[in-house]
Amino acid sequence: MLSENASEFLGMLGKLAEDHFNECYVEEQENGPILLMSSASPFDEEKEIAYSVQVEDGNNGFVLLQYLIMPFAGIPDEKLEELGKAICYIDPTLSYGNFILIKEGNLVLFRQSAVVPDEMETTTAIQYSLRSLFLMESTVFETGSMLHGLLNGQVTLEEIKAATAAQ
Amino acid sequence: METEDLYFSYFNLAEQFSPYRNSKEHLRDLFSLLDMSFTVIVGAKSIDVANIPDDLRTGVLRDLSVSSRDVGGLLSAGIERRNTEPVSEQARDQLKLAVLHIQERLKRSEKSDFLPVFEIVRTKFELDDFESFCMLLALSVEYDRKYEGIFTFLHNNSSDMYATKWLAIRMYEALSGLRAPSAGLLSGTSAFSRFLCTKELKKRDRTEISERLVLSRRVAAYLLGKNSIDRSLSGFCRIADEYEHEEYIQIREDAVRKAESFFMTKAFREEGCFVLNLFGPKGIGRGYTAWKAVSVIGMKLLRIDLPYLIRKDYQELDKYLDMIYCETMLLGAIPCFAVDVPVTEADDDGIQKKSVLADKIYDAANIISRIFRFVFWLTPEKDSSFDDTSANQLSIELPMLTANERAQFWKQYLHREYIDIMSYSNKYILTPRSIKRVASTALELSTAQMEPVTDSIVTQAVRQHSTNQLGTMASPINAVFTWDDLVVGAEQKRQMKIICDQVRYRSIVNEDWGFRKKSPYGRGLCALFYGSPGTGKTMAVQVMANELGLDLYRIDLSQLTSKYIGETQKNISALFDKAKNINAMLFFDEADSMFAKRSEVKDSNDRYANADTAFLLQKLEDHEGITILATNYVNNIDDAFKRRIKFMINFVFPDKDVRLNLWKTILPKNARVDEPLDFEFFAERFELSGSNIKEILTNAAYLAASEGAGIKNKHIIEAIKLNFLKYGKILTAADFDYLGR
Repeated sequence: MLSENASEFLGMLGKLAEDHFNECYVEEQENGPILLMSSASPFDEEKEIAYSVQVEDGNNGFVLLQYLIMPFAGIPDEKLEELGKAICYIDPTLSYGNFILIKEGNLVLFRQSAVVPDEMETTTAIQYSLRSLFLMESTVFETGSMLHGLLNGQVTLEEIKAATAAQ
Repeated sequence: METEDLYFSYFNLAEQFSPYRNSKEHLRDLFSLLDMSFTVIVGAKSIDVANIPDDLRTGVLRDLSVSSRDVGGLLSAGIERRNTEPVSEQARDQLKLAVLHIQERLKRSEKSDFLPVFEIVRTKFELDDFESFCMLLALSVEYDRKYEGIFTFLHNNSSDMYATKWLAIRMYEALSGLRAPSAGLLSGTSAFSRFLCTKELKKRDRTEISERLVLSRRVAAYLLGKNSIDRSLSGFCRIADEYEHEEYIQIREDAVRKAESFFMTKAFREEGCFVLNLFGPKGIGRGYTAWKAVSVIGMKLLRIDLPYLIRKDYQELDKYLDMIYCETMLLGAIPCFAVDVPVTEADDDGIQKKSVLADKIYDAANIISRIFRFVFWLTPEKDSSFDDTSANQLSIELPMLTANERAQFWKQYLHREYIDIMSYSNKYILTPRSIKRVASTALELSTAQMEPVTDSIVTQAVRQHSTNQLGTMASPINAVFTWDDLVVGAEQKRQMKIICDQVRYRSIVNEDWGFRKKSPYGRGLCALFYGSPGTGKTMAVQVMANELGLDLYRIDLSQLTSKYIGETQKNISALFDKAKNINAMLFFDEADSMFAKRSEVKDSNDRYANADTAFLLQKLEDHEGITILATNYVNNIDDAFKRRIKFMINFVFPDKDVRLNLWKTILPKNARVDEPLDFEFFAERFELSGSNIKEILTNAAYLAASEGAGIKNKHIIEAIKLNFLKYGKILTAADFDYLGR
């Protein structure tokens, strides 16, 4: 059962993901174990992107896999409103996951959750999670470049609006 | 293909969280799931052919015949199969991911108010997972012919290009690890096999389990995106639309509201079948009322012509009703059966008995009560076909329109203000649909004849649409005579005109002035014409029918009376029921035979004869139309009848002046006359009735024509002699005075 062996599952997932990420480790937190990972940011060489995977109890024999990617942190206050608007334009064009602006922490998260059967074999669940993570990553890298452009002034909000409207 | 990679090979993970935008996307995913399933099944060696040892496999795939070696292999594969785990957990997980993928997308589709057709069928027919799987298997060959090859391979039989029940059960059990709830599928009673599969392909040489799963064309087309009514049903089923009902003005608000209310409260219950019987004359708006009730919540109404359907044998009827049920489900329609057929018929002895069709209707009602949850049942009379079934029934009557209501329709369709709309609505007892048809014909006639719509044109139009609706009990008379043809006394004419006026103005008196409320019974108009033979009674009736533009029916009293006790009353009842809503004048010629004085009861026969007469009296009084009785023997008519008769006109024997008029009027204008005819002499000398004079002139014309000459006095004399001879009286030359010389 994935819900009962969450640490083991996350550990195995982290092990398989090691080659791809800079850092992978499972941290026991109050609400259960969480796999934390990081990789170099494609937007800024000096920065990293953080990832997390958590297993939550679902209902009726299912578990919820919660994936988070944090592409941007330390966003200047004056950019928050504009970024919030840009996310509103971008979100409807996404078929997978969604961006969330956390104003209190000045950061942007990309979130996706998936439901899988609790009795699913660990190897299948790991493979599924890895695929999900890679899919999220490519989405964040592609669409995040627009947000990054906005943050460093290379792209205007109007341009993002026009680009997303065209989709 | 690696089993652990299956889901990702067939599905795009990124799409998992986007709703289905159309049914094609959903089908694509379903068939990806099916392809995965086949891959797993073949890979897992969970079915017989895949269990065959490797050294035999090539042969089995390539060779369609079965060798003794193959048999051995198959048998050992059977043992092996019983001892092996069919599908790996890993493979099953991949399938679960695919199922979840589809479910996630469906959830999101539902949020955006879209449900793919496959899900619609699944929900409407309440299919369980196994039946849904069967439906997918059955649809596969319609979706892509590649599946024919797969099924051939899986069955190891080139003639099995379709999924079979066997394959469905085996695959489902192997894939899900559950036992397939296959009892309904095998017996053909499950919703899937009963309503969604074709019933044409049942082969006798196949066992139940090896039967093919083939969707009906209609269902397959629906699942693949085409939703139009089944061609095999289109001959007697159609969707009622707004356009069809545009002729109906909202005049039956109360009935419509009642129907709406019953529909809303009864149609969506889970318990049994509910039948809403809307009864009234055809064309009164029964269909409209049903349509109005269902359209309130945007549903459709499927009109079904039941008489067409019940010509089929029981099995066919059952099959067609299943198809109709399926059709209503796919179209989102409520069934509405029009049942305008007589449920009784008279046998050779005049006995009314249940007709053959009645039995068929009961059969249909029985099946309907088991399949449908709610049906509209349109009949001319209150119906009891569902009495012996488990269905609950409620009836709503849609009575014939009043004259004022009919006037609204006349106004709407004739678009003429200057013509006497009220007189039409009084004269013609027509339903809205009939008024529409008659008005349309009248307008066409008016255009063709290049004259405005006149009374005569409307009358012609009414005649065009009239048919003998009274069956064998009455024969229609073509009423062509006008007032000019009728030679009777001034007093008789005056009384006849009063009768005509009563017909014309009865809506004003009865409805507008409220006289109906004062006399709820005896609304009809009954007149008795009496007098010697040949005095013009029959012609007078025709003149009146013509004047009023009504169809004239002579009631065949021999058909009405029966030697069997109680049958006469049934016949009388049937006659007046039929006559109730048609546009006719009933003519009881020689009425004394039926309306004769009731006798003193000496034996039981007398008692029943009197009962029949009393029954007839009662029906006559209740009848709202016009009834004319004619008799030569007024004294034979029962006094009780006389009390109920509004007008009694005595057609007296013509006097000399009337006779002269008759001679002159009856001779046609175009008749060839070779010498002045002394009609004054004939009128004065011979006491003849109108019919005698007509006969004499006709005979004289033939005599003249046979001589190649025009009519002369001598021809008339000859004809008069012939006429008198009939009554045993021989005339001599002296009787003809100067003309005889």
